Amino acid sequence: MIELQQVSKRYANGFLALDNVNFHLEAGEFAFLTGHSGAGKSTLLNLIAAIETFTQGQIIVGKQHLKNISPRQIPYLRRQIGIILQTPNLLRDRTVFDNVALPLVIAGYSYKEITSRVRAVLTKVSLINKENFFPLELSGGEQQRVAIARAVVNKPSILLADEPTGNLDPDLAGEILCLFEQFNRLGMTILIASHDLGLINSVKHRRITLAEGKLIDAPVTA
Amino acid sequence: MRQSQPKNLTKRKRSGFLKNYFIRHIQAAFNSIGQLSRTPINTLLTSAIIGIALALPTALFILLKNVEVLSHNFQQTTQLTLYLKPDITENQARELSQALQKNPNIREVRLISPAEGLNELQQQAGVKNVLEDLQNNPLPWAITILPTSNNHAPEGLSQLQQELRDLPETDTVQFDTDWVQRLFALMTLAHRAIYALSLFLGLGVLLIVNNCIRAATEHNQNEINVIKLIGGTYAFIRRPFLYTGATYGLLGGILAWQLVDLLLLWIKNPTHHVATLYHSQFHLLGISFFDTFVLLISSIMLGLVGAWFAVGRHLRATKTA
Repeated sequence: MIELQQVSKRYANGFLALDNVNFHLEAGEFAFLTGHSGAGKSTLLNLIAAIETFTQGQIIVGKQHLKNISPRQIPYLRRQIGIILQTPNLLRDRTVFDNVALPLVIAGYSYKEITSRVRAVLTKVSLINKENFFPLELSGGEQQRVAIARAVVNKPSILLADEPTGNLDPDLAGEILCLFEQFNRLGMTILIASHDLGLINSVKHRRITLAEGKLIDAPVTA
Repeated sequence: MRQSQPKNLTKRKRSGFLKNYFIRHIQAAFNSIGQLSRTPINTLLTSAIIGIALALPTALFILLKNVEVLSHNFQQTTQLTLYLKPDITENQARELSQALQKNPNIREVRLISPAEGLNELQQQAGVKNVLEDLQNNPLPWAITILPTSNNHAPEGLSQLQQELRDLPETDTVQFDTDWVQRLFALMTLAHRAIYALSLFLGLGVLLIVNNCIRAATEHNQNEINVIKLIGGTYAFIRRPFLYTGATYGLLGGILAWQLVDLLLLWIKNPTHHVATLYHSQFHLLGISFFDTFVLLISSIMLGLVGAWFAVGRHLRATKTA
């Protein structure tokens, strides 16, 4: 589902963020991407979502080769990928419902379909009673759950999360992780960048570790 | 879930592409109208600036159109007077006037005998006493000529005048083409000046809209980034801003139209009064349906183009985000 072949990323200032990284994530896999801050975790996720470009190698997401991907294709790539960042990045002037509905509006679903899908996903993240709230009226954990709902409402085949529990206390982080596992059971390929070892050790999933831009080991733990 | 998605997508694409397209446009339109109505003062001020900028060239165009009608009216009454040589007899004069009647460039010919000429002169105040002192009639035979209406351009008139002057019977041709030529020259100049002015003010409107939309894109930077992140195309991002630009243009155009209408209403009665004093049937031409249509379409286009450039530049500048 996600394949990196000898991928390197060098920033314009000369800094080598990723150095000859190889790995392959099968469809339906659940993996953690770990490493210290600055190890290149966010860069790697950004490359997979075509937010940044890489300088060498090839990345294949689904069937899409990302080297020389045209700007026109990027939106369609991103519709296959749910992206969750450390900050929820919600639109403050829209309700929870409207925030979650946005990917469906973009993809051109009918109002009826949007309503039923948004309600379903809000039920899953336990926010169905807050669909008319505005983001600032919610707690941090709730805001992050809205962001997750927005990321999965379009039923993407891949979910990328960059420190999704970074701002949350351990209990809430556990709840969020639980949600990700539920989506994984439905067939979604999941890659979570995190340096929260306590959280990562609480479940048994594949772990990919980055250090100074290099992949150290990718043991598959069932 | 993964397996079922592509099937759904193609099915949806086939069945409801047009419907979706319209839904998206309606969504974008409502989105932009909503944003505009949330900042009514700002919207009205921007539209007012655009309206005033467009009202000026529109008013001048209407004014020029009126002047053209007026000058056409003048030319309808343009006549040349042909004074024949003193030794021309009545028969010769009649023959000539019949010959002239056949000239395709001449609409109407009227022969005036010396007696009639004297009579006409006597009608005019002040000359009467002088004429009474005369022993015999000094006036020659004369022919007044109305050119056909397609001969009203200065060149045609000059040519006709030359033709008449070259006739052996002619003593003098009385007609002052200079003022017609001057009027035409002035109107050509006015046309050019108004076009140039429209161009500048149109450019100004473009920049105003561009600036407003640029500010709006910066204000909505976060929203644009989020939309990009969840797979929104450039077209999707651009659409509401295009509607905003077009709405500014439309509101400005309507305002310009109303301002010009108001101006015409204001000068209608005085114009009519002046026309009556000159015994003229002249009626002020208003802003026609076609003029309004052109005005509104151009103002909407200016808004659209201004917005297009603003969003395009913004999207290029934030490409990597």
